[in-house]
Amino acid sequence: MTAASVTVVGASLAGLATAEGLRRQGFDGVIRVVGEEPWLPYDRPPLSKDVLKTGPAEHPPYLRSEQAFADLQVEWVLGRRCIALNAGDRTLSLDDGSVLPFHLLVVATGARPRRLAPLDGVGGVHVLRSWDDDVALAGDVAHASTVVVVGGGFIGCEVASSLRHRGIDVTIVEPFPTLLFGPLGAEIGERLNRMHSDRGVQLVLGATVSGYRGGNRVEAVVLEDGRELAADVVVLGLGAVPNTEWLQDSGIACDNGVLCDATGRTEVDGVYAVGDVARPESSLYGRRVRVEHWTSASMQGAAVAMTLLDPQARGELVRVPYFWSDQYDTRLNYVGLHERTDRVLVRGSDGDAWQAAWERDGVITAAVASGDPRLLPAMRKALGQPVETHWPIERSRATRVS
Amino acid sequence: MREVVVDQKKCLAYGVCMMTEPAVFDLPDDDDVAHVVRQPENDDEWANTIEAVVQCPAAAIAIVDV
Ligand SMILES: Cc1cc2nc3c(=O)[nH]c(=O)nc-3n(C[C@H](O)[C@H](O)[C@H](O)COP(=O)(O)OP(=O)(O)OC[C@H]3O[C@@H](n4cnc5c(N)ncnc54)[C@H](O)[C@@H]3O)c2cc1C
Ligand code: SF4
Repeated sequence: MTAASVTVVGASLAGLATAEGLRRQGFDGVIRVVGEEPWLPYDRPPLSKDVLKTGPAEHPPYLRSEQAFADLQVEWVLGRRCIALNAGDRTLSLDDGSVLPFHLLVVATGARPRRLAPLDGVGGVHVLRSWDDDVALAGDVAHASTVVVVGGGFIGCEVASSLRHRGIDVTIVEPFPTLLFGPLGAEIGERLNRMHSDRGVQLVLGATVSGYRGGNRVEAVVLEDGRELAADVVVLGLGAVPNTEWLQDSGIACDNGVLCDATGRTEVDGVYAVGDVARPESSLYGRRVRVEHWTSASMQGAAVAMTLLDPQARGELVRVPYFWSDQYDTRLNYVGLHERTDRVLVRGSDGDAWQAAWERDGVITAAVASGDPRLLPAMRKALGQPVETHWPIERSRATRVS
Repeated sequence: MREVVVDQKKCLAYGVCMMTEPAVFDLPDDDDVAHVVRQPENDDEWANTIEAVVQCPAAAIAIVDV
């Protein structure tokens, strides 16, 4: 089947990767990309890292050069939100009242930060997902001396690290006993606790925020046990929820993401989903997986592009997940997918350089290393291998044939 | 003929490329950026190399016509 046109909803990484994948395979039909934000696709990881350390520039860190965007020949419909997908007449309704017909459609609407009801709409309280969020946050912290970060996940930890870089006093409030407890567990979390407290971050663990003190603007957050933590600025790092509400009456099933088959196909013919918003089946993991990593969004866009042009291609969206996180001068690299019940093995000094792996039934399911990207190939290779032969993970050298 | 190249000014040493196709990419001990140690030699290696292009968070890898 040759498609006459492909429409993508969501003008970010997964949407861009879809368009690029189509062009790479020689598709010369119309590609239209609708995006709620006014910007061409830009990179989100720097928002919590370098951009927050230095304060924002005039425009977001675009994913491509002006020339590369132009070469793609995409019809961008920016600053427009899709409010409905009408499967019957195959149209999209936009927030300005216009209606766009579509032929093949890719949903790449990503996710948005979870908020905290008692702090909703209060001045000085921020989330961080978009360039606009970053500009607002950076503007506000420029005059702040004390910042409270609510949630010790990746975004919270990276924000804390970037704000420490600017000499700001930072407190992280985290309901679990360690930072990154949910994604990485207590043993690794303790190392992160140390890393952050060594850099002067105040950790308030096992605590939840129930409210705030102040008028229109926050002066302190109030914890459930009544304690108050002074704050000029509050940053919420409570995870993200997939942007699926606009699909409510579309006939597409959503449950913590757009439910789709392994190739991204939804229940509506010719409509696919990719990136943070997608929750595809995975033959690799034998269940549905919604991954919120940069490389996954990029790969899923490339994979769905192949399926759009050749439905027989059956390229699976879910590959072995990989992500990184930069905190202070250290980069964490994680590869694989572990369950909370997997046993964790940790090796390395107490400092910022260490490695860990998870095992289930004697087989390695995931690995993470702090401070050494050169371990990655060996980490990747260790997945699915027995613990006895592949732990600890040793550097493997590329076979040089030159 | 096509050839894969790493723009070493853009590379940020994520190591994704050497994980994706270790026969082609490497981060040498004595350098902070990835190197192409040799060109892909078969379809599999080319497929992995194209995957590395897509996965490189710094958009530092390109396939060029030579
Ligand atoms: C601060 C920050 C730091 C990060 N750091 C890392 C990192 O270090 N490593 C890593 O692996 N990953 C990181 N990530 C995650 C990574 O950026 C995401 O996985 C990636 O952006 C997902 O891309 P996406 O295109 O699926 O979704 P998104 O980037 O969320 O894009 C979705 C787009 O769709 C638009 N949209 C939503 N609804 C509609 C609608 N109804 N109509 C039109 N447009 C709509 C949105 O405005 C948005 O522009 C980070 C994310 C953030 C926010
Ligand atoms: S994936 Fe890209 S940024 Fe990372 S080491 Fe390879 S070329 Fe450099």
